[in-house]
Amino acid sequence: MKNRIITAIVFIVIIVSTVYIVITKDDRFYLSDEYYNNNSFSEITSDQVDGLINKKYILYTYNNYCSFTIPCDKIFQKFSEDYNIGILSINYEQFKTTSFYKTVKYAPSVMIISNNKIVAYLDADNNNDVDKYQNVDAFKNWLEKYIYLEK
Amino acid sequence: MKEKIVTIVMAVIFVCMGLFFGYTLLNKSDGLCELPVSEVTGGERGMLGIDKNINESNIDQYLAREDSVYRDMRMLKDVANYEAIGGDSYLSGYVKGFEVIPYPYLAEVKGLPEAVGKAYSGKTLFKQNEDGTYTANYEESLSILEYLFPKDKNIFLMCGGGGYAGMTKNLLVALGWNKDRIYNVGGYWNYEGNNKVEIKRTVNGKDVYDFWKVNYHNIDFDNLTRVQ
Repeated sequence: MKNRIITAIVFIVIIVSTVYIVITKDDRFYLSDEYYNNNSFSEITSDQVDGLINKKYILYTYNNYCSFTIPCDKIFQKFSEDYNIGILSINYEQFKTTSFYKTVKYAPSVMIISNNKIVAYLDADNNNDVDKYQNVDAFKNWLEKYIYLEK
Repeated sequence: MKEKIVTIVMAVIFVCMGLFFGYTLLNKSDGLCELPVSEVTGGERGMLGIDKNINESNIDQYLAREDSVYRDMRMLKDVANYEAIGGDSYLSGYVKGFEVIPYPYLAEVKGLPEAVGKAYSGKTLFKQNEDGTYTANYEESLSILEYLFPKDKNIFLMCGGGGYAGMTKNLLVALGWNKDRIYNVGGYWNYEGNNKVEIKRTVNGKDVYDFWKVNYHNIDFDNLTRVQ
């Protein structure tokens, strides 16, 4: 009887520990080194995107829109300066020729890219993402869910 | 007995067929499907007033309707430098069936990103007041608008990114148009459908624009009567 109780307790502890580890697991990653200590907002082309297959970076695609309260590129540039993280930007016409266009259909958008895959992105069609386009802190909090802001 | 039953059954069948065909003929529609409700989408696109239910992704399903008009609100060559923010100052293409009426000729363009510089600042049919209302600059202003945007039709608006289309909808609604019959379809730059009419082509490395393909409505301000 005593042995059974001990076995049950050990079993429960193992299960609870496993669940705790899974829940609190940190999936964040570091961007590629060159994007830290770097507050540049660099324009790239779709050809250059092909050369970043093994990199981890933030990509901003922009488009013309005729009426906008706060230009979102100002928000992302401010973030880049404040947190010293480099962001790559690509105009929408170029962006449409990349493989990322299969997932991200509307500009403006910011994508977190890891080894040529989109980890997360801001959706221009989604109310839940509006604040991230218009507020540096909201944008930063969103990024922090996926990447480390310091190295 | 058996013959009577067969006769009655045949009679019932014929009556039912007659009723069916009669109903179909009397209620014959012109084949137009009902339009979904005009509803603004979310996010940044929603801030431009782009419609959730009819936009660049599915406008092809709603083209060439007799109960509707289709208006592209861009200039053939915009004064604003939209290339500075990844756009296109030229009307390099449009969706088949859309007729072009530059929004900048209807009312002042406001709220452009700094990078594009100044917008068109010439004559306009209306002036926007600080309270969001509009005042006609010409005696013919409203009748021109009523001709270009018939109130008894569904109105589909489009431009490059959805902004001019949104401004047009705001103008029309402020002047009394039914907002539920106006759809901001969004921008040609997001359009991937099957009804593109290409205007821009490259000849010997130089861009050439076939504006003669565009169904364009010009407004000759010199022949209008200025409101005193």
